[in-house]
Amino acid sequence: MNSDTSFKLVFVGFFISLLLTLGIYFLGVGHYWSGLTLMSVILVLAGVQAVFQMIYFLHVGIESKPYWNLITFLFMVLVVVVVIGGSIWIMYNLNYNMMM
Amino acid sequence: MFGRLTLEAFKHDWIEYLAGVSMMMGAVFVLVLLTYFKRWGWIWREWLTSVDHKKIGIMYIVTSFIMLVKGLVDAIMMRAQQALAVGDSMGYLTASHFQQIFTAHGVTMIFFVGMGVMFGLINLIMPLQIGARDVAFPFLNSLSFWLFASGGMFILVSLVIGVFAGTGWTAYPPLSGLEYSPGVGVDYWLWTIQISGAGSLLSGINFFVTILKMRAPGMTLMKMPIFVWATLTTVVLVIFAFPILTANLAMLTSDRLLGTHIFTSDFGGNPMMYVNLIWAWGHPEVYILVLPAFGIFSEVVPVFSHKRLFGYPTMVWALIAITFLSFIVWLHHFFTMGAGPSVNAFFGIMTMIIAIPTGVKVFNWLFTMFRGRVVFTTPMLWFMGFIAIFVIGGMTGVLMSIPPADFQLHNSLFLIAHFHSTIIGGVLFGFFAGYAYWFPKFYGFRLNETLGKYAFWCWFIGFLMAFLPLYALGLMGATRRLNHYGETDWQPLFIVAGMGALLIAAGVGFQLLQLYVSIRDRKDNRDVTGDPWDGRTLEWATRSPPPFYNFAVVPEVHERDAFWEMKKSKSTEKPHYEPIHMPKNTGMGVYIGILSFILGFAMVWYMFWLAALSTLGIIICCILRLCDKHTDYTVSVEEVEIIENRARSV
Amino acid sequence: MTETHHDVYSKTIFGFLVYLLTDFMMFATLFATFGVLRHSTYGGPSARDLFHLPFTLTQTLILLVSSLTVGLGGAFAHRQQKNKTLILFGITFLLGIVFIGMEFSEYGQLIRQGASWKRSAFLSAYFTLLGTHAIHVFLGLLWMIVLIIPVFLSGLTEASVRRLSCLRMFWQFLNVVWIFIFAIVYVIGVSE
Repeated sequence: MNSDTSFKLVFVGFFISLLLTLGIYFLGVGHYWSGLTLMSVILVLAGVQAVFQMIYFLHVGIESKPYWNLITFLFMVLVVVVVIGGSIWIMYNLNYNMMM
Repeated sequence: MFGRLTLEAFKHDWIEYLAGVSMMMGAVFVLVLLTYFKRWGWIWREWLTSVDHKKIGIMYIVTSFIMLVKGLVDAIMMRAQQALAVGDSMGYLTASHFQQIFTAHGVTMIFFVGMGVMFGLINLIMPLQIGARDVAFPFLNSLSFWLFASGGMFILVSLVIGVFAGTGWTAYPPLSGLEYSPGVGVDYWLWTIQISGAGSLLSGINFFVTILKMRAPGMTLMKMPIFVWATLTTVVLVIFAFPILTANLAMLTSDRLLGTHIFTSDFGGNPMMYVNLIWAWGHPEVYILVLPAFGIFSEVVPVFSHKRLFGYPTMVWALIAITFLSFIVWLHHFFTMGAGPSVNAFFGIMTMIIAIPTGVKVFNWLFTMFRGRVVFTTPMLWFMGFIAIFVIGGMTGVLMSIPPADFQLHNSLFLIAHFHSTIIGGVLFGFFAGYAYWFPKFYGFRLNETLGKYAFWCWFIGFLMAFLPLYALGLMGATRRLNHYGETDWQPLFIVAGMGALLIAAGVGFQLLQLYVSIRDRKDNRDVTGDPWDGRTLEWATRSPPPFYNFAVVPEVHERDAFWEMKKSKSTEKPHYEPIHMPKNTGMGVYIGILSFILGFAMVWYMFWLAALSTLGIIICCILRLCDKHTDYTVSVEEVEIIENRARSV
Repeated sequence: MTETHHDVYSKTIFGFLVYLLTDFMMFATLFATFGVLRHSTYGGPSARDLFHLPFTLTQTLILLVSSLTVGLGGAFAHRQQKNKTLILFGITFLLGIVFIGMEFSEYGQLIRQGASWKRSAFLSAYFTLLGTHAIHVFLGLLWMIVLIIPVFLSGLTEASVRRLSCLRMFWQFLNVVWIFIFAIVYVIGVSE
């Protein structure tokens, strides 16, 4: 990728991230939702922003073949979801049974 | 100035003194030899500062052999204690010493033997098999080795100064927290694993980039040898599992040093989270240990069956499936911690499923042998031993994957027998097969076959004697990690197990003897072709030993079993040489390794001024390395010609 | 066969990306722990009692702008434009200093209030996660000094462009981690 594209990418990435960050902030403090709904909305916005930053800043997924960056990154996402999600499920279960 | 280090730290019971003194005498002996033969310069230039993957691989294996001896001594001491301490007798070891022994045994064998031999073999073989001249980051490779060695030093030093952890090799809190283990033992444990773990992680990244980016032209992924595929999947596990361990241990360190309450039993801490995280790492870890062994067998079995590997694509898919699945089974290590039935059922089922791809691999090896011309050389004997012992281990694993069964067997001697079956039968026998198979490549002569066979039979029968009784004892209710058992009926079984351990020690004795005899008789067993077994993969295309640049001309690959194809289509054209770009040796890995050891030691003994200084030293070393402009050199075409012609004329 | 410059660049950038993925994994573990311990306040202050979202939003925006400037700095380095590279990395450095300064001032305030990491598991998890991020930022700033000085003195070489690219990636990775800290620790934390 030439450096003109990287200039464009950085600016686009910045503006999208700015919007999403402000979105997280104002939706969070605005008290439109609470509990699980709020958590899901915020997490989705954060996840989307992370994806945009990975693409526009870290150039993951826009390389030429072979797509090693993308594949490795996606596998990591899978492991993260499994380990964090799994840990929270397990610990919630354990805490309930162990009355903590 | 010395933190909490006092003369008390040097006081031990007589057994510990004996062990510490003999260890130091061994070290002094080596130093004396080096001085007497004036080999300090040589060892520094040729070995310690080397960034050559072949030399680094050998250093890993030598270090692991030394640690294997220590781990075996630990095992024999435990077997002796359990054979003696029955009924009214309390044996000869104190309880606290026994706890340190089983902890050190686990840490030594898993990290410094298992990981060490596998990373050593991967270092030696993988670059050659992909037609590369070295790994992607040769300096990092050297650094990884020195972090590994530095980590291992903590276990050895703890024998002389202070104590080692008495918590078991996974060191669960709250026992491993500050309140219940205020001494230095757990701190030694933490630094051993953090420092060597950093080395493992760097190696993982290194091998990953090497395989994906440095294969010879024409070698697509589906043309790679299975050993390379096994390495690739292994390092994927390393890359994503080791950071979990790093974070987990850092949090335990923070609890012990800074007063945080992450895993404490009060102030809201949750020790169960440590157990959860350590096994989220721990399960992938055991696959990190065994997958390279599967890769080794995939190389050995076709060659000694004179038939190509059966089912290459399914072998690859099995490796990939195991890699993915090993991240979703970890709870089976703590079924009994109190999670509910839905959680236990999910992980139990996943654990059963992961046995399937492994089964596919076992059948594929057997189908490879079917209708082949099988020759039972030492490597093939190790393979047959693996089939017997690892399969027992695998099946007992599936047995325990059923949570109700596991509630009976968790932390019993049945569990001990299961994982020793898989680790010794799988990992260690795999390494021994690879050692016998590839030794001629790196030394130019074969190992003595007769002594190799004696070693195998001692190990095989010794293993069965040492561990089959443990399956029975576990089923009868014997708990692990006990220094005394009340049931006098069980003593005969413990005695048989102890004899098995001694037979294994005899096996190691034969292996050392084999090395001596093979070196003594090397002229008779010389391999001049570079291909003593009629091999199929690219490492056999080089001389024995290979030149430092591996390949004078980078091979072009068209088929799987690239060397087999090259042999069939013998080309007689004169090779066209080009200048070869090689990395220079450097002492930076050694220095950073030493500074890391000092950092860890200082942190263990609360000498924070020294810890700060060594951290600064490490940062300075990194900066110096970054500023170094002379890290490579070029071998000219004329030099390559001279080296190649000289070798050809011999 | 001599290794081309592109080969070295390609291997190093890929290797560094893989290292960043391991760092993500490590942060993921700290996030998991925070997730498990976030309600374990042991009678002490909770997120709602302690955090000021406008302050954290400012921090977040400063770090985001620094991601922009470091990205531009990396692009200028590829174009061999030494002065623009130095200026943009310099701005990134200053923004980083402000960010760290704000972070430490928040820690100081928490500690003075009695809400140190020793107070509860929740605060332990908070300080561990944020502290690890802060240490990474600090090391990034140190690395920036080490890389920029040779560029200032002897210009942009092939090696320095490669290393500045790695530094850029590191800095932007820290921003991605911070998104989750902001969202989970602060925004969700305050609302729970």
